[in-house]
Amino acid sequence: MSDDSGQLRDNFLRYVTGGMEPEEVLSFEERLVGDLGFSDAAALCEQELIDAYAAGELNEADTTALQHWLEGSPRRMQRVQLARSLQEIGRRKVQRQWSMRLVLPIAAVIAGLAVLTWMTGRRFVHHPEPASDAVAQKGVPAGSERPPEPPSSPAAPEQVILVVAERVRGDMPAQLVTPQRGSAVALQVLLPADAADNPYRIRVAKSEGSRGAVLDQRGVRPVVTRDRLVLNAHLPGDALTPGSYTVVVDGAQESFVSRMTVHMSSDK
Amino acid sequence: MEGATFDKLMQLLAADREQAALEYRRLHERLTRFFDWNGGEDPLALADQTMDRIGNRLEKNDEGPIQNVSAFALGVARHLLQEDARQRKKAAEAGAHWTSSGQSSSNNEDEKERMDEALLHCLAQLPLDRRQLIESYYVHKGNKARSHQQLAVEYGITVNALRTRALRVRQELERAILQYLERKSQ
Repeated sequence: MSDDSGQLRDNFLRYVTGGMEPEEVLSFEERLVGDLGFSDAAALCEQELIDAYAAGELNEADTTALQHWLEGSPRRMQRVQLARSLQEIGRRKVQRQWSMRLVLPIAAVIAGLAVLTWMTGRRFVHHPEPASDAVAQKGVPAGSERPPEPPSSPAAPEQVILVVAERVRGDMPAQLVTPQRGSAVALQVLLPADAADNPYRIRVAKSEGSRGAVLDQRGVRPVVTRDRLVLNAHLPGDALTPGSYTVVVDGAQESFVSRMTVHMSSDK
Repeated sequence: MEGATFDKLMQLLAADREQAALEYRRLHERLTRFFDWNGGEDPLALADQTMDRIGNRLEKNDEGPIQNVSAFALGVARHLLQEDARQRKKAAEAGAHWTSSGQSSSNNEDEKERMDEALLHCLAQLPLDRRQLIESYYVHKGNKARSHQQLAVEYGITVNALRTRALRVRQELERAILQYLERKSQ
């Protein structure tokens, strides 16, 4: 009987699923119990068959044959479950690695553009606004005087706002953020170092008043950036108006909070 | 197994005591696998019983010396496997609780959650080098065989050696997970 790994795998599969002739079984078992190297190689075959079964990589005939053998033992079914869990960990690692390869350069470009735009933003100063409240008005009745429209300018690139979320523990200082008026915002929420890697709900709302949330997004999966978990969300232009905001992040096991004070960069 | 009988078994396995202990463990492991692959109810206990019966045979010594320990052990193991199957069949016919997975009442989602929790806990307890190895072993960027080949090169070992190391870590992880789940169920 050949020890070639493919041959051994096939023989092992036939052995455990009752597909061997009696003489073959005797010979196979003599080697299993009498030869340490052969026994170790067979144990490897068993593990790889369980991994392949868990990943759905076996053909239909082998899957059916193996399923009966696996389901006959709680221990083996646990090993199948363990294989699936390890494979899931492996898949998530690959996804994170790809995310880091994409997110870091994109984040660097966005951050650079944001800094450039902020530094040169005063070139695009609009006509003075009558009052900050008027800017926040929506649905101005027809016929009433509207504030003068700013001169048309190229759409400002999305601005990155990074806030740090912490566990709720009483009063927290607010971070000052200064987005450009009218710019869309890429909100990045940095989670605590020991935060769980599971989907979160992000809500952003004014701390006072009852105008509803400006952002309420569920199922946001964190990405790894420099070994920290970061949640990304996007707010359209003019979603943020001057004032105090609370950012709440809800996970399966706990919640985190951040507070920010919005001050428009073109305000005096 | 009594001390004198155990000594006889050790001498049968190897002249050197330390080597004999190593041979004992290896034979026990091969027997455990044999019982596991053939549906033994409790492979570890059956392997223990096999070794005990070998010891008893040495004690009686009424059939001459044992020429080949492994071959003798296999014969005893086959016999025990048949006894085990008969006992389980009797228990099933008597309506005793059958503990095979076919009657398990836990649903798949609960089982998955328990396993995920146990796995994360036990992975964190593993020494870093072993944890990194087993996690890397299951990271496949595309072709699994190529990933393993690359990983083997990183470790400076053959693919076969990598597979063996991963298997050992996996077995260590399984034992830890079983103990963890047993503690949690108490």
